[in-house]
Amino acid sequence: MEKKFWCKDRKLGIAIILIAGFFIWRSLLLPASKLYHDPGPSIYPLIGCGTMILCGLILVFKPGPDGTRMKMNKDEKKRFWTMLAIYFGTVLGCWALGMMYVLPITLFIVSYLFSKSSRPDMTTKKRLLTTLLYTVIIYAVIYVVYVIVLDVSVKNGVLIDLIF
Amino acid sequence: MWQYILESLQSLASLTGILYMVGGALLGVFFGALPGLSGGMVMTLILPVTYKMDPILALALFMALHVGSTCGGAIGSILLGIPGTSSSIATTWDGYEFTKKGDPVTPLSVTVVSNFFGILPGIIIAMFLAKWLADFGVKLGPFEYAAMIFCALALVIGLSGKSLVKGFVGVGFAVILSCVGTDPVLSKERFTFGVNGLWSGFPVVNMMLGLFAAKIIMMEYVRQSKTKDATKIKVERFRWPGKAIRENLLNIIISFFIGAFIGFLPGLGGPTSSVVAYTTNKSLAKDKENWGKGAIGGVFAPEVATKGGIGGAMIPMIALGIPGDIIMVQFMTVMESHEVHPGPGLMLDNPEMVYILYTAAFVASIFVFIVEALAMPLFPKFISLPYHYLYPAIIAISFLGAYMILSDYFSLLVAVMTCVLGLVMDNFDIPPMPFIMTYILANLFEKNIRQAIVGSTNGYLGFITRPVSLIFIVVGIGVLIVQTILPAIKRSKAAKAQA
Repeated sequence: MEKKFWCKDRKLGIAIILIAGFFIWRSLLLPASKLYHDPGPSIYPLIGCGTMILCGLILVFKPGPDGTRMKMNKDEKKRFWTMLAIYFGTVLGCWALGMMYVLPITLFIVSYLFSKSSRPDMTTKKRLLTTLLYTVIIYAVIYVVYVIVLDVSVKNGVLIDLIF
Repeated sequence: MWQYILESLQSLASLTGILYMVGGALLGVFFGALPGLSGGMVMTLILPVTYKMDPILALALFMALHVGSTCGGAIGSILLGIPGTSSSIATTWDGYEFTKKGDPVTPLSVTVVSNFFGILPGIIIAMFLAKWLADFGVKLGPFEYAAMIFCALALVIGLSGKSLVKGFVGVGFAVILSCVGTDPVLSKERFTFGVNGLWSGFPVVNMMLGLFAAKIIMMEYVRQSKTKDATKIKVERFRWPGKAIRENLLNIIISFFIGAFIGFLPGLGGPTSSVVAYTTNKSLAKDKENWGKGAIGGVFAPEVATKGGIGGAMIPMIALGIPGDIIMVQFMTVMESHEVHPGPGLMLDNPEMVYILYTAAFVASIFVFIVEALAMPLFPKFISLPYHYLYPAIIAISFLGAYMILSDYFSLLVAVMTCVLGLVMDNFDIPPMPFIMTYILANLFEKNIRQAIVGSTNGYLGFITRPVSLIFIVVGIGVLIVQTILPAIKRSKAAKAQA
């Protein structure tokens, strides 16, 4: 089978050469060490970048076959982006409002999504109620263990601090 | 030695100690049995919590989880034909055949007793060998230590059987990411780009939460893997497999040594040792035609080898500070979080930490034996639980755990970004093991390279003029060369055969 020119390995090779190039430039800007004989803080990143450039060149000139591990169909892609959006949304929400308010919302949304896939026969009303009950119980347990027992202090987000 | 063992037993004999051990063993067996999840996952989730625990008890809990999950992995293999962990794949070949014939108790009972045959002698060997290796480790200078880390990384990349180039890409990424923050010799700022959150670098716990918890749950949702119903399988009570043990004594001994040796080598571990033990014993067996169709020797071999690896993997971590697999990386992280540094000095500075690992493994194997023997009839219900309900809780715990490390929302972003990095790595088939191992050894590696150069008159030549350092480098390069040449020879042979 003929290999595509823009195969995965070649793309990866070019990407890592660019990343390594950027970090070589940044490494060369690092100040030298005043210790006698010390190669300085730039030596280690330069070793890493050198390794990456060498690998990048091998991947560009001698790419392997494309794997199939991460191939997704349309539905899987949709679910992938949904979950990624939830992850980033949670981070953003925690930063803006605080974990105390955002975590139960995330818990509810994720539980709802999982129950949709594992119990497709359930009615929406029943699913909402079950998910809500599950969220309340799990959040209560997590709250008791982490905030009360382990004494984790959960900060408010910047917006809550600004408003109150 | 006996004094430390007694002290460790005393710590474990407290109410908290027993609770941790029993809870850890139960949780480990449960997570180990569930296909898709693993003991490594539950350990990752608990990792942030250990920052607030007594280090001795945290290590005991981790050992109970590790032993429990290693033993629980076989349950899914035998009852469903779906391995709970990658180490249990070989158990499926014969174990599931018994279930298909309506006798799941025999292989399940064999896996329960295999815990003893693998773990206990492995721990005894580890106790003596780790001490000897640590004595050797103390004599190593920075040149030798840096060369040894290089050798360990080369072994991980070379022996894991994946693409060498991709393995090195993971190493390169890890080196660059580990440089973010401050340099370990002069504490100078490096690659922080003016972002305050980057000053302390990327916490390894957050990276593991992203790489192993968040990513796995995400892919479970994407792939929508369904639970197979095992509730119709009838499992009776545990039966002592005395006759099977007598008939497979040689198999057990061979498998144990294979497991202990492969467990000792970085980067291989259970998945390899179980398959090697299976194939070796199959070739030696009198009834080899029955293997794969339901031979009890085919259950003993992978199970004993996997458990034998527990003691073997502990040796380089304790004695040299080199983790052989992800689980040992987690043990190291627990120790590091309490300012205990695994390596040659560990035996001298914190012997209680070392002996708690041995004692906890011993006690955990007894607890797991009791738990598995008593709960055997419940196993089918156990693995048929709608564990999709666990996933949302795992996500919530991961976020909280990631936050706990620095009490900063920036740490959440680190975990999510690592999850994305893990997905990218998966997409390009970059193995995670060289990446995470390089990341955890990065500071030590850099510090030793620079200390070696500072204290040397020969500069970098010191790496090849010192015999021990040279041996490590030659072994490391040798493994890489062999792993490059062997596939090329195989390919050319295959091409010739086709022609």
